[in-house]
Amino acid sequence: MRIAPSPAVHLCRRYWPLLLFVAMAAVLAACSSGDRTLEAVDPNAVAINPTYDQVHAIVHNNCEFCHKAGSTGRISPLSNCEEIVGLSGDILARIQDNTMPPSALPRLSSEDKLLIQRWVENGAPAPCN
Amino acid sequence: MQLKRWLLVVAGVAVAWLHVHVARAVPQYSAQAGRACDTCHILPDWDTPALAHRKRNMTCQTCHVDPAGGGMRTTVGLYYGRSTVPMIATSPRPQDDWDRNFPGVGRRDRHTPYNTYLPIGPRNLEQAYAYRDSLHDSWAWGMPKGLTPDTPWPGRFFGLNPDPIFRLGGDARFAYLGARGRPIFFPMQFDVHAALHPVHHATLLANVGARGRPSGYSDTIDDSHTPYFRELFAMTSEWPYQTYAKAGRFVPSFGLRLDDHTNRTRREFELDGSLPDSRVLGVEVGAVAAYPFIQASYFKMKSKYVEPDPWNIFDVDDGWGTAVNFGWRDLGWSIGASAMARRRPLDEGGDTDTYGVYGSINPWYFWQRVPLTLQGEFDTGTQQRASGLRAHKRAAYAELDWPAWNGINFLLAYDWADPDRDVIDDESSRYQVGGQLTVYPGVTLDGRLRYLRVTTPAGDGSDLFVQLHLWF
Repeated sequence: MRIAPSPAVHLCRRYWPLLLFVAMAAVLAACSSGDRTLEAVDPNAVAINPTYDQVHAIVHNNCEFCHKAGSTGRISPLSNCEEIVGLSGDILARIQDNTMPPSALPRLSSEDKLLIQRWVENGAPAPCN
Repeated sequence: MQLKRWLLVVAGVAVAWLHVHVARAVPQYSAQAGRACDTCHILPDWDTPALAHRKRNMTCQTCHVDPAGGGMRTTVGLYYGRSTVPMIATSPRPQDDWDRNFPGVGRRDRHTPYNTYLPIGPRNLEQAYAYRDSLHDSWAWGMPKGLTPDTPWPGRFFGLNPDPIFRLGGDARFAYLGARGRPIFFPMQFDVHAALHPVHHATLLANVGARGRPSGYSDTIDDSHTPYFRELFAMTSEWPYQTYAKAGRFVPSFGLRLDDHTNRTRREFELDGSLPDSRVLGVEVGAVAAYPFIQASYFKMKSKYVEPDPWNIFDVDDGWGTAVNFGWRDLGWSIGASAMARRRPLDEGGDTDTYGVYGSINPWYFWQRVPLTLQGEFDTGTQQRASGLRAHKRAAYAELDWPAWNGINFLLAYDWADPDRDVIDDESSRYQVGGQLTVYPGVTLDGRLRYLRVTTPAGDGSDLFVQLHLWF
């Protein structure tokens, strides 16, 4: 006599690709990284004294498409030296807690974050200072 | 040095294999193609041509001129794009996704037994020929010299030119990003492709495109890489078992070449198709028929920190790289592996070593009650930091597709990256739910809700990303 499979077995047989997908996502999500900052791991990973040009390149590529010249309201412009230097502390805080760039946009790399951190710690040297 | 030796051995085996065997890999269309009879067989009598000359097999070069995939489409790709992908103007196909998913509701084909693969579109040859006559090829001219009896023949793809001397093609994408703050409309892609194919086995491909800037249309137009040669190479191809060799500017074959250039399996390893920096100058050889495939390349590239000249494809620096990509692509499943190494001075970006495995499965090919396609990739590797020490990187991607009906595809996608395993604050996971709607050939609307999870909960975020893709 043939025994009917249990509902769980039936579900597994029918929806195994979905279960496989979920399992794959769960395994990858569970992968954990190290517990140190880049500065602790490799102090020489970026320049000790970053230049404004290096910072500007990062801001231009990651921030300026929202923070354009002339932006008003909640979005502060980051389109020139004065604006970037003036908001340097806020920029550092937002990139360190990953709230900027927002939404599902990619966050800055550890190298970029460390570079901006050192630039701010050095007093945000820039041609407009 | 050990890695270099290992790569040389693999490349040597690859080249040796070219003399005896064949083939290559792709995303979900390829994995799904096994569901349709005329993927391989030919109306009206369902003939089966030689393997290397079927309408479509499971490899990139079947639908794209570039055997590495992406960009300009071949006649087969255009035929597939007109007949199978859209809701309207579908050809007489031996498939019906609605019947497949909802056999008891609104079934159109009530006469064909559900468990057969007979065509459901045309009820007779007159209808089939009427559809053939409705297809036209406005952007292709001529027939190359040197055709053999095995090459495609007129009428093979209904009204499309099966093997033109010259063809134009294009891709344009207009994007909307609904993020916190303000919505952003921006041009993502403007590519014009041209393929010159004067004699059999010889092709010159040029792809001139713009670099889409999220900051807007004027920034895109003013960009230093608008326009630029995204691809420019000479190729000899269509040799037995689809063996080919190409030389020029291209993106090396590695893993799954995805539409989504932001996917971390591409972006983390300098394979982001939207960036001029991903283009290299090199030589690639491969054999890409069904079912085994193998490709190997050697290339030079520009410094990671300096964009290459838009037009001068010989603008490269001191470093070099090599990549190999191989696997098996069958009707309902595929599996593959890739390896790539770059050797360059630290001030040009440093050395990288990358290894990847990937695969796909279309369960419907085996069990009609599971109309899904699953594909995924996992990559790992190292990259030198500016200090010379190596960062260990990992990235993964998985996607589940449900082609609910012709022209409607729903998807769940997941990608994850850990750019530096030693560092705590750089890992992120991205979840996507959405789909593609292709009502008419050449017009696809792609919409996704995306959620990004990062190491700091306050940094988690989501957005709506919609793109209108026009292609021909």
